[in-house]
Amino acid sequence: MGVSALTPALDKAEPMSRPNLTLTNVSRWFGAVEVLRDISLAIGDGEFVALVGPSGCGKTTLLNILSGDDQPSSGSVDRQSRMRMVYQQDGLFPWQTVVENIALGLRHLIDPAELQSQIGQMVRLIQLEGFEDHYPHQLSGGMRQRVELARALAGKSDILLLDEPFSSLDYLTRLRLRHELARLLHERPRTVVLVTHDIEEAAQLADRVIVLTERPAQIRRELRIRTPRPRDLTQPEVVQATRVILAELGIETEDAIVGESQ
Amino acid sequence: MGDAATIFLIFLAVYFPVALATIAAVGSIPAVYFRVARAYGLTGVEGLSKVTLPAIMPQIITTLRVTAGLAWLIDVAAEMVAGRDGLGFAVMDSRNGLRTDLLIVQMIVIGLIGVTMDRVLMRLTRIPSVQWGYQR
Repeated sequence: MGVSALTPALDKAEPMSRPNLTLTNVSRWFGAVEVLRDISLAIGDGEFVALVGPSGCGKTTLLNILSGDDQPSSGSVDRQSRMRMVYQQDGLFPWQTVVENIALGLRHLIDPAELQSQIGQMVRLIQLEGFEDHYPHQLSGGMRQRVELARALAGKSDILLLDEPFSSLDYLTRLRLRHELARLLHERPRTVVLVTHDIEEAAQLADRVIVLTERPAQIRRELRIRTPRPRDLTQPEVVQATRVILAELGIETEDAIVGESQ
Repeated sequence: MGDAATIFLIFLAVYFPVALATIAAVGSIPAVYFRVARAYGLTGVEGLSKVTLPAIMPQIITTLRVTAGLAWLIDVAAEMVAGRDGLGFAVMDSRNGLRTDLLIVQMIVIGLIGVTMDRVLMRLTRIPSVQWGYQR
């Protein structure tokens, strides 16, 4: 199948640039339930990391700890920079228009002219010209998530946390928004942590995919994907990574990763 | 004394529904909004005026519509029992004087005032920034 020729690219982690976000031996208990066990993770500046794992394994808990909305029961979190989060859905304020929501991300700007021009830029970037004064409930799901991305990317954050940002969308819109996200990140580079249950999404977008185990979540496998971003879904390394992740999660049989070095 | 007693009665009838509805409305604000507010630096008074209040506005307007009708009914009833003037008093006066014609007009006026109050409050639901609360 020529699969083995591709495998060298899918190996263990290697040192990145200066870490932006570091977890050291993080565990999290909710009462008697252990959700995260001894997770250590260093995310480099400008890196795009995807966290995948079975549902209910603690992905979102991990993200909440990264964002500071939750504290680890033991271990430590080192956060170097300002971060913004994009939620599954309905993270926009429904009582504010597209422009007002985006302006939230630009609250540090005092000069009204500067603010207007920055908002204009963001609206153009997400191609929603003409919808400036619409409210979220007047937009489609895909448009709403684009506005969320714009709000998070406006201004001076360094880290973008994405909590299953496209999971509420239909398949085609999801594929389209992946390209959109890749394009936006090209324009405004950020360190990104993406939590997703969409394995293709992880393989297509991320520099590094971290596969978590069932609860209590531990890091089961790290894959590095070297094909430069943006990538297509059908590129060999993306397909291969998807296979490996599926096998790691026990969804496809071992046959699928014949030739894969463990 | 009539007015003070009426006002107190209206207060008693309206305060608790409004307070309870407000508490329930605040309690049902999705946690995401507060997290977003914190992430974008909307805290304290700003958090209250730009997040909490707009988030409960649609429910508050509905509660106001319900309780305004209630207040109006109590007002008229209190005037009937203890008033020395007002529409409620006039209704009783017409009844005692066997002026059915006046009585009917007064009933219609009471109804119209009630409907008008509701219409005015209903206009609040057309404010663009609360529309979201009525269309899901």
